[in-house]
Amino acid sequence: MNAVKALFLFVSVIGHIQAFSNILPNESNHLNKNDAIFDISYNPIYKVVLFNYFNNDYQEALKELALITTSDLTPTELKNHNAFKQILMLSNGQTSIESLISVSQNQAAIESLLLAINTQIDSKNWQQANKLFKLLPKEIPQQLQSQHLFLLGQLTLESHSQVNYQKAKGSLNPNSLEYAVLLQHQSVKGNEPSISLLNQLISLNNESFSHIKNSGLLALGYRFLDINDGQSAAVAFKNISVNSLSDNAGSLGLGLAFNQLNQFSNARILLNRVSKSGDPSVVYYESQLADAYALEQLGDEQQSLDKLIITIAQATQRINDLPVVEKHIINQSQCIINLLNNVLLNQCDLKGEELNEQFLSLLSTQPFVDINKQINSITKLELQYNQQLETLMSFDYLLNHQVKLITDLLNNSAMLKLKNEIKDITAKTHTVVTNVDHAENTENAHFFLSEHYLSLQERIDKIFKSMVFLKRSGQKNIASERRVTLMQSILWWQSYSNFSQNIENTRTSIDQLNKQLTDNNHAYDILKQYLVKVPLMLQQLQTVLEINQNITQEKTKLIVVKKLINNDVINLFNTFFIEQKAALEKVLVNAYLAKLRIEDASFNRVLTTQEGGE
Amino acid sequence: MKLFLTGIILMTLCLNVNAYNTQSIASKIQILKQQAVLLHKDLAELEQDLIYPSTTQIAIYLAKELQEDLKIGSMTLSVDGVTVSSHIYTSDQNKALELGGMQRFYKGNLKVGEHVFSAVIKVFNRNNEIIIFKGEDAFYKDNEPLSLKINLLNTPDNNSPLISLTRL
Repeated sequence: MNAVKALFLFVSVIGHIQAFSNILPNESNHLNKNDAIFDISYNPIYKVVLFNYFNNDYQEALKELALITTSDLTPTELKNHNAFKQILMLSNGQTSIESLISVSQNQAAIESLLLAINTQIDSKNWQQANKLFKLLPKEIPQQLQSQHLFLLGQLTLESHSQVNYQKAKGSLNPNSLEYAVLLQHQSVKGNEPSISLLNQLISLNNESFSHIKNSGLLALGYRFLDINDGQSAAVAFKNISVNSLSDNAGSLGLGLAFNQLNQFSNARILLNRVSKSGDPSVVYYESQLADAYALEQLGDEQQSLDKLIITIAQATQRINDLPVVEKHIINQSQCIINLLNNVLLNQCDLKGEELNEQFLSLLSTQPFVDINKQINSITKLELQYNQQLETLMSFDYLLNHQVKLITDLLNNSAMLKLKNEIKDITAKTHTVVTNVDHAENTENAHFFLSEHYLSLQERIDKIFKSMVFLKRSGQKNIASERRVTLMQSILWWQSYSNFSQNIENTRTSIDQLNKQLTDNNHAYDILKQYLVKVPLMLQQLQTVLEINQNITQEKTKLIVVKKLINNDVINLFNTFFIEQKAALEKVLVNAYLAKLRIEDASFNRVLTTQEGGE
Repeated sequence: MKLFLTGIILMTLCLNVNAYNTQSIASKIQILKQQAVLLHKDLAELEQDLIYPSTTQIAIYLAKELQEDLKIGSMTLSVDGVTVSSHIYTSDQNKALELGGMQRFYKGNLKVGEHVFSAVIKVFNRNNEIIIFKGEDAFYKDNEPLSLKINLLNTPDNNSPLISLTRL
């Protein structure tokens, strides 16, 4: 039931990144905040990742996630971070199911594996399904247990491991779809038809499973008929819903069961019902034959003979018509192949209502259902290839973009600029350091003198000069001289304070320069490392090209497979008509034998009467 | 019947061969992807280091924690009176914000010192009426990277929506 379902995963944030749950694509954009699994420590970048994720920009989300430094995360957080990355990559179509195995302990990975197993089972690829099954962990989350048991049941039934099958089936909810499907499979494939299986099938009371139940009861009923258990067969057929797809086949079965139980009148009621239903399949002829038998057993030989003669005529006509119908339908083969993918019956020019019905019964046969599955698989495979090609194209673009970026960097002489900048900063730092050291050593207070200080100093110098002039002129002004000297001291003291502060500021500047230098050196190193990766990128581009070619080749192979399927459709038609012819011929033979038997019996009775009369 | 069986077997074989080849290609792509992701990470880090040195780096985020149904139409951000970035929002982006995502609205460089940040957000209510939210605040940028969050949220008392600018 989940054969064609991809996995979509959603992440939600409640305060910090907390949860993700997986749901199917048709239910997209639905969040289940209760299914908390992850607990990644708070980091605003995770919210930015989520913004891009919810905005369906998975590339950007991955880019943001890649920038998160994982070295500070605890082992649990790191594990969750990686799982988160896997989910984003899966959403982005960048990873395959196998890569999820590394995180197979989480629910998303387990569900992915279960879906993959289901796909393999649908394709009857039991070996691969078994292989994938072994990858599942021992502990399956509660929500996935039902699906897990169902798949296990199907696998074990196929490998005839009754013990494991019963164990898996016994653990399933009897009201679940999975349980019903397993019962149906068992009714077709089990060793001996059993009463317990019959009771289990009958007890299925969910309306939505009725077609599964009917088909299971039908298969089981005929298997009871084969072992001459008419009573159980009758119970099985009686429980088939009226007006269901299996109704006519069920009525025929019940009629046969009544014949087997010598309840011929009851049998006739049912067999007549089938005859009047206008069923175009062999079921009609078989019901006629069974009805003739019932009539014979009830003593109405003449009516039985009449019925046999009509049946023989109709079956002969049908057999004669078969080649015409077959030829006509085979001519419509392309149309039929289209029909298998899109059931639009009106597209085909089929002759008459009867042919349409016959054709419909043909389409519902198992081989055509299988063919339909194969065509679906091919379509899926093609889709997968196209997705891979799209992914490759985006990688091709990404790689080319990166190569272009490096080339641009090189063309702009980024390395040289960076180198020169580093050299320049180194030189500047050196000059500043030397000057500061020198100033510190010589205590040259004038080194960092401000404009304000200089103007004050100028005025002091002028005053000193005036004083010298006064001295020379014989004037003595000791107090003024002392005062100016004191002012000079104060000024020097202020200047020295400024100088110390300047020294401190300069040291801070040097620190900043050094930091910038470290940053630049770091960038330079990264750039150098990055350049080394250019050949690897070119090699990757080459690999992308090769993979692209491989995929194209694979796609070409698909055309061949499609052709084979088309041939198979034709072959299936042939087989169907051969089988139908054989069944009709069998009906004919039985009808002739019955007719002969009745005529012989009648002849013998007439002869005995005549002899008795004589 | 034999013909049919042979056909089915042939087809199963073909499908198996295809499955094998697909897996092989898938693994090859996987390896390639891992290498490319690593490379991309290095490149992104390099880009960040070159363009946004830690001393001048500034990042501004937008979040929406509203109880009512308001859709952001656009937002404009100015730093020191100069418009540095503006953005028009799609419904997907609104949804992403509602689900707890946070948009990195702007990333750039600023000198050390005090700067004034102002944001204007145009919002549509249920009746498609436009409501304009304006917010302004000053923050000091030191030698460490500065991260700010612009948030549309409800006030705890009367539940009316407002805009807030906070450090992250």
